[in-house]
Amino acid sequence: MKCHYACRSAEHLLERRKFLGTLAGTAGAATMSFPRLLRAAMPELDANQKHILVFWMSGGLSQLESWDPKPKTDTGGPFRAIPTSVPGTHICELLPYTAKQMHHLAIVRSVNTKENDHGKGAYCMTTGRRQEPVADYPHLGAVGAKVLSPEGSPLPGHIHIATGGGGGSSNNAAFLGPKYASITLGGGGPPQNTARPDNLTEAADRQRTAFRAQVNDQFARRRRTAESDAFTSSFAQAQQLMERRDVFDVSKEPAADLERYGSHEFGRHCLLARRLLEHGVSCVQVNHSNYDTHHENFDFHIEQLGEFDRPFATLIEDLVQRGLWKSTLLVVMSEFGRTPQINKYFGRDHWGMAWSVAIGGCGIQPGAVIGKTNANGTEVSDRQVDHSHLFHTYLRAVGVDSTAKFDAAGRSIPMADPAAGPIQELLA
Amino acid sequence: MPRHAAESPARLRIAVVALLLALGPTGAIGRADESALRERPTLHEKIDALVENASLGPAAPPASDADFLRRVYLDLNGTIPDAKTARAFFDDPAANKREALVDRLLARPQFARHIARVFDVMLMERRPEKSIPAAEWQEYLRKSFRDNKPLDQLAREILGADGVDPGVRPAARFYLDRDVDANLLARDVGRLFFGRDLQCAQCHDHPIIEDYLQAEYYGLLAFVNRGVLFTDQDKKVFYAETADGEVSYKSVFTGDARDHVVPKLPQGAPVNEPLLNKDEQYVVAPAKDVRPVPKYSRRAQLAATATSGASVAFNRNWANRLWAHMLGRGLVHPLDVHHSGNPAVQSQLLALLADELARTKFDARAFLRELALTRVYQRSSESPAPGDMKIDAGASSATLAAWNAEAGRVSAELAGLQAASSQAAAEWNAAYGNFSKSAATREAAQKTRSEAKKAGDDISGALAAAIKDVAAKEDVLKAIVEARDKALAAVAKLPDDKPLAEAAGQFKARAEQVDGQLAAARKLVTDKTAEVQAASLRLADADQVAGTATAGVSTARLALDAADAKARDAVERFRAAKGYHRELTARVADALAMVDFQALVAADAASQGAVRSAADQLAATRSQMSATAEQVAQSEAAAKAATEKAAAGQTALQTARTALVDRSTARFTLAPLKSLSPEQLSWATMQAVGQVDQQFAALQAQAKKDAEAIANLSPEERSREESRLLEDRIDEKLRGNIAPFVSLFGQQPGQAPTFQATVHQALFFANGGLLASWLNPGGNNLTERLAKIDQPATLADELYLSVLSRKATQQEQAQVASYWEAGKADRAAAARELIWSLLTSAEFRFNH
Repeated sequence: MKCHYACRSAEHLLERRKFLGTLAGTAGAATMSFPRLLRAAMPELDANQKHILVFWMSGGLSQLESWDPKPKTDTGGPFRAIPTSVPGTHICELLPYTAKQMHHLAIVRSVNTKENDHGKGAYCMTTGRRQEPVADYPHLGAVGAKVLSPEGSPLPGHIHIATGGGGGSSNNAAFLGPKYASITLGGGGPPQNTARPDNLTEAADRQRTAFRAQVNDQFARRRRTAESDAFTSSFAQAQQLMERRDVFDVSKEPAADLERYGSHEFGRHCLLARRLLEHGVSCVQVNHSNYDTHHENFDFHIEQLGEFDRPFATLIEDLVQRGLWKSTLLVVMSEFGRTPQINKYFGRDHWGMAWSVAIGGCGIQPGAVIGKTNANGTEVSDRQVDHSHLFHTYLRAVGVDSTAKFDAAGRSIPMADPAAGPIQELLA
Repeated sequence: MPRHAAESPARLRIAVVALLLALGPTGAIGRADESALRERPTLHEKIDALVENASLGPAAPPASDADFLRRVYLDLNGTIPDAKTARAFFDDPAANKREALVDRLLARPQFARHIARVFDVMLMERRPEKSIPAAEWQEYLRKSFRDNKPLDQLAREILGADGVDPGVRPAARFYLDRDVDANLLARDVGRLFFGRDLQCAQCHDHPIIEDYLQAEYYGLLAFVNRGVLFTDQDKKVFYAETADGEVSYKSVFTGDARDHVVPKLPQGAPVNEPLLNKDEQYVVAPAKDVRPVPKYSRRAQLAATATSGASVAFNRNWANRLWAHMLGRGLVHPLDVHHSGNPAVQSQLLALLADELARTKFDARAFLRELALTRVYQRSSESPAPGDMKIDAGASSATLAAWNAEAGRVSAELAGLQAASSQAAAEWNAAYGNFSKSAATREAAQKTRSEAKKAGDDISGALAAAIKDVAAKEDVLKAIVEARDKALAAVAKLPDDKPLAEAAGQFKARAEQVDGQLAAARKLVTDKTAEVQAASLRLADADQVAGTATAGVSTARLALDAADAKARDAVERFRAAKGYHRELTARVADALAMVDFQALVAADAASQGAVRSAADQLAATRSQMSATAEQVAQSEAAAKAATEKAAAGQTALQTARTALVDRSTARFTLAPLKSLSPEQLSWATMQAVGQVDQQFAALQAQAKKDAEAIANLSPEERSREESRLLEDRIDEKLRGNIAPFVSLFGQQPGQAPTFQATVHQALFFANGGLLASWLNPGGNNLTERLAKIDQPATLADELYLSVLSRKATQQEQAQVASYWEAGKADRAAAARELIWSLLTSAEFRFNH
């Protein structure tokens, strides 16, 4: 199968390469579900700590082939709608496993961000604001890392799991600073520089650290500031992170789980997300590429959602069973949805006017369906919302007052767009 | 405590000056002294006197030679000295060696490189490269500082840049890489050139900061509002500007609106703009794929007005930013929050610095030199012991009383000044209303005038066509008449020739017909001529109306200027008084904290005494044979209570001490800890581990050769050229190593820098391949050099001098010796670990 991308943006070409990488790993997908032992809750896990888990459907998931099917209409495409575990709620037949978990999820079918550009759409959805030159806002994960991470936790608070990427940090924390920028675990590997160099023994590392401590103590007697203390303790935290490097090693999960999630890369990434959340990472984003189907939309959604459905559903099931669901907010989002009109290449184009976001956990009203689109999905017909309402909702769900403000070097900046508020019906 | 040991010569000089002046011109002065005395007191002496008079209690003692050396290297050259330089400086017995060092550092090519990096980060805030290559912009800045281009000229080039002049095209990066977005430019020009972040005043007057008015924001925005990003056919990007595009705004809070906003700098007068007729506004008129060039450019106006030397906000901003570069924080802090609610810690000092900067023609190098020579800059950063934080009770209470009285006096004036300011602002508003109305009238008149002009042009065209038509017809008629007359003559000769008679008849008829047409055409000409006259009268009328309207604007402008001068004076007086009052209040609060601290120290001493006497009492009780168990228990309880009280006192004392240290730092009586920028950190690390020296050794011979190849250089010029070439090549070889530091330690793009210590930074130093490769022995790097040393004391000195730019203390020598002994099986490994330990220490991470 070939996918011809009409949109030649740089993001696209990159995502396409990642996508081709993913395809290679899909051959041996597991098909069986295994019973498994529930592990004891991790001792270090704070039951009250809230988490945010984002599934980033890169390129723009089609709402019509997922959360808001319109079968037998001019725009509906070839797929059927199937019943779900929520009576009366139907989703696309490409998501049979997810359909069985719908009683844990809610769908917002009335998203209108009025944004059809990849970069700007991604900005809206991840920051809750429209992109403007004069101000930059932090990614949801950066906000989450800042407000949800336990004091002094050595683990990064904001992790993205993607096919590519070298384990480094990004520029998505704006005024919150590099501390909260995402660390990308490229290919599911550990963060950069977490392994001791080969020519340094553990004993030697201890010795040099002890010597360093002496030097620091002597200097601290001359002068100490909040900054020098933060600097000194960052090395202790680095040490703790190295000791917990296993947290990033998905192969430490039971073989049965590895099989349940599927041996393809996305399956491993979902399992890694579970592992990270269990170990107390505040915000995890799992990227799945590529949904930018200007050509052959239907074939591509069979392929992509075929890979997505089962590990995604398995993860929800596990989070529920392990008691993490009540403290984990899950959101499935994209830059935008896809046009109801099917183009001459059997593709669907960019469409921010009427599309869907799935959301669940953390007390989000299970089984709720918010808003409606009209009969053939060409416009929102009820309860229109946009990125700013969703952003408020995410923050409120994880127990944060979304009208609160950040202090950025003396400037006070509202966490979420003050002109909007949360979608109250979704909040417990 | 050893108070101001280093200052006495300066004080002495001042005393000598006073004495000599008193003695009159006959006083005997040596030649050297004479030149030294001419400029006294110097700026740095004035600064010191001001700072020291504005706080209670002792200022920190002078920094050690080691602290000073490292500090001034980092601040002026962006890196640390090598071990040899450090040793030579410490061993130099000259009294003026600090001054000599400052001069050396300012003359090195590293100075321009470093200050250029500082300005790059300050002005671009690590924004991604878009239209202008970052390397070209950095090179432009470096050359500017190498040539000691005055700061006002640099600012003029940047604020005036449209990208056309190839010589200063890189300067356009400030505008172009911000996509010429008017709001972004208004915000960043305000922040970076005038020290005011007016962004919150975009939609309404600032809700918290009284001085930040929407009018200020739009006054600034009007300078850049006519700019757009223009891409030519070669995909080259420029700043293009139109001649129209009026700014108006409305407050979302109050609904107050204003049209025809005149460009105006913060604290500045509204700009007087030329009033050109609409059809005369362009050098190059706008058209498709054409970059318009207006006759009058607001961008150029911004560049000129900002840098005229008369903009107080501009001058204070740069004085404050240069001060912050050296002293770690601004006199006004944060640097982009200048307003009367956040006054300078000492407004008199900021005013002095700003005036001096303008007076010395914005010579940044000379200004930094003066700052580096102050006692303020050269103070220790060590927290003083509580015992060293003593004040003279009598003198300080007199000082406090004086400050309080001053604060009271200013406070009493505030209400009156505020009323005057409000009154003047109301008059200004009225004047602006008139001006705005007159501008609207002029705009309408201009429209009528252009329409009349166009109608006149159209009719003139029609007249010309009619005249042409008449001429053509006359020409035809002439030919026909000639033919008719000739035909008639022939008919006269051949009366019976019928066809000839018919032909002549036809000529005659046609001549009559054409004659009729000609008459009509002539009438048209007459009519059109009348119309042209009418149109020209209309145009003359419109011209007159437009002229009157323009004169009306000019008159309104005069009234506005008068109101503006008055209002600015009143507003600035009020704001200055308000700021000064706040400054005095803060000064008094800091002084009171110092006074309170004395009480805590005394209480602590008393508590310690009580602990001792309770302990004595307990011992005595215990030793008494006759003491009952109850008495012993009582003594024990008393001793315990005394100890607890003393501990609580100690905690309070330490808390107060920390707070006092912060207050002293903000008041510049104690030097701060400044975290190294990513650039400083990377270069200091490369210097410490021997990377720079390695490149130096490899490139020196070639640089020397290349310098020698340049003809007609004096030996000094040749040596300068050699060091310039060498610095350039070392930078070229090593600059690629800065990027990982920037990505881990730098701020996010478009954000002001803030300090953050992250786990990933620590991991980069702990396990990263880059540092590890630098620490592997080889190429005579520090690891290799240290591994060859047997003597632990020599080793310790070389290690500490190379990394921390100071000699090891005896205690540290012992610590190094024991590490060396334990690691003797693998000296290279031990050396690597020791270097790493120092590189990752707080002492290295901060400039102290």
